[in-house]
Amino acid sequence: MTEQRVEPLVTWRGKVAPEWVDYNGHLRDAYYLLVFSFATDGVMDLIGLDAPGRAATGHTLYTLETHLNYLQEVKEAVAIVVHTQVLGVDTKRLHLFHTLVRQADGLGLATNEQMLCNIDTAGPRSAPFAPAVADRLASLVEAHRPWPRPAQAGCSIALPGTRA
Amino acid sequence: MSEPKPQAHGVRTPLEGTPAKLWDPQAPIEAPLCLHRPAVLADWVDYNGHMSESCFLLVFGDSSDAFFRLIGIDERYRDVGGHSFYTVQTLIHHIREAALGDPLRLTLQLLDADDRRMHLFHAMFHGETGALLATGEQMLTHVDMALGRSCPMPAELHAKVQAILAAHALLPRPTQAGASIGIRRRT
Repeated sequence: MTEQRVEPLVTWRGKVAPEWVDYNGHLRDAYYLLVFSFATDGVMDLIGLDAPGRAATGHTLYTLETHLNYLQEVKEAVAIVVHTQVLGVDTKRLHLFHTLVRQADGLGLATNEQMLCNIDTAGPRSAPFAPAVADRLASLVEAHRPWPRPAQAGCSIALPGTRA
Repeated sequence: MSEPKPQAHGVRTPLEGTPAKLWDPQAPIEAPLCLHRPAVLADWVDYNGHMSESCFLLVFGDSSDAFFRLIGIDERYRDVGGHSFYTVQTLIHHIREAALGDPLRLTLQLLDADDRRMHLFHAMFHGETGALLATGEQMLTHVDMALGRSCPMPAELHAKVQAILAAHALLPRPTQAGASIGIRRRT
């Protein structure tokens, strides 16, 4: 009765397009990132950095770092969904974690951790988030705080046994 | 009944369909390898005129494909043996923007390898100014495509990978390699 159901934040849904498939018949690695960048656009829409918001504030987001973990092959025309968790925010940076899942059964296909920076396009230079954007981000952080930290978050790349 | 056709697909690499190079064990190995020098295409830039982030990865992938063909991985290798390399992880650092028409120079450094995995480091430079634009660190695994499972490289391939690893052993470790993502707070 009191059980709280946590609905994932869906930031993009669609199908694997034929032009994203490589010679192995799978979604090519760069197109996973394209899908995740659409999901980041979805986040920007949510926090007031959609096209009108960008025009009004003169701000946009640049990606500083992006880390992909490929979990499963994905074939053409498969229906896919991106879930997004906000891992952290400071005055000008946004730390996101996207998970690509198969719509049919929720199977995790890939993850993408991103660090984005708010940019005043007049510079261009980094700048604090506009107050309204910062408010929306703060409420997302608060809403996502109870969610478990994803296993892939914060990891680095190394062969086993060689990690410093 | 007709013959099975090669699977139609949308993404092609610049070298797709060209056979792998013959490996000369006596030839010196570039350190790092410099195998790909594209210019930024109109298809790769966004409404700001900057190369979009997924296209950085597309360019790193094209450089990987040139690397594969250097070590003997091509369509024939895939179709005859049923093996290929799959990317398991990728970490990109974006350092500077790239604009339409910019000449790019890609370098590829082999950081580590075992019997089935390769740990690669790509750097993307502006071809004229030499400015570092982005880096891409990747872990790739040799797979049996039918089983969908990793498997050791054949001995001949493993020997080439080890020769490149030895040639790259003296290169400095890139500062971006081995990083993880997080907000570092000043305390």
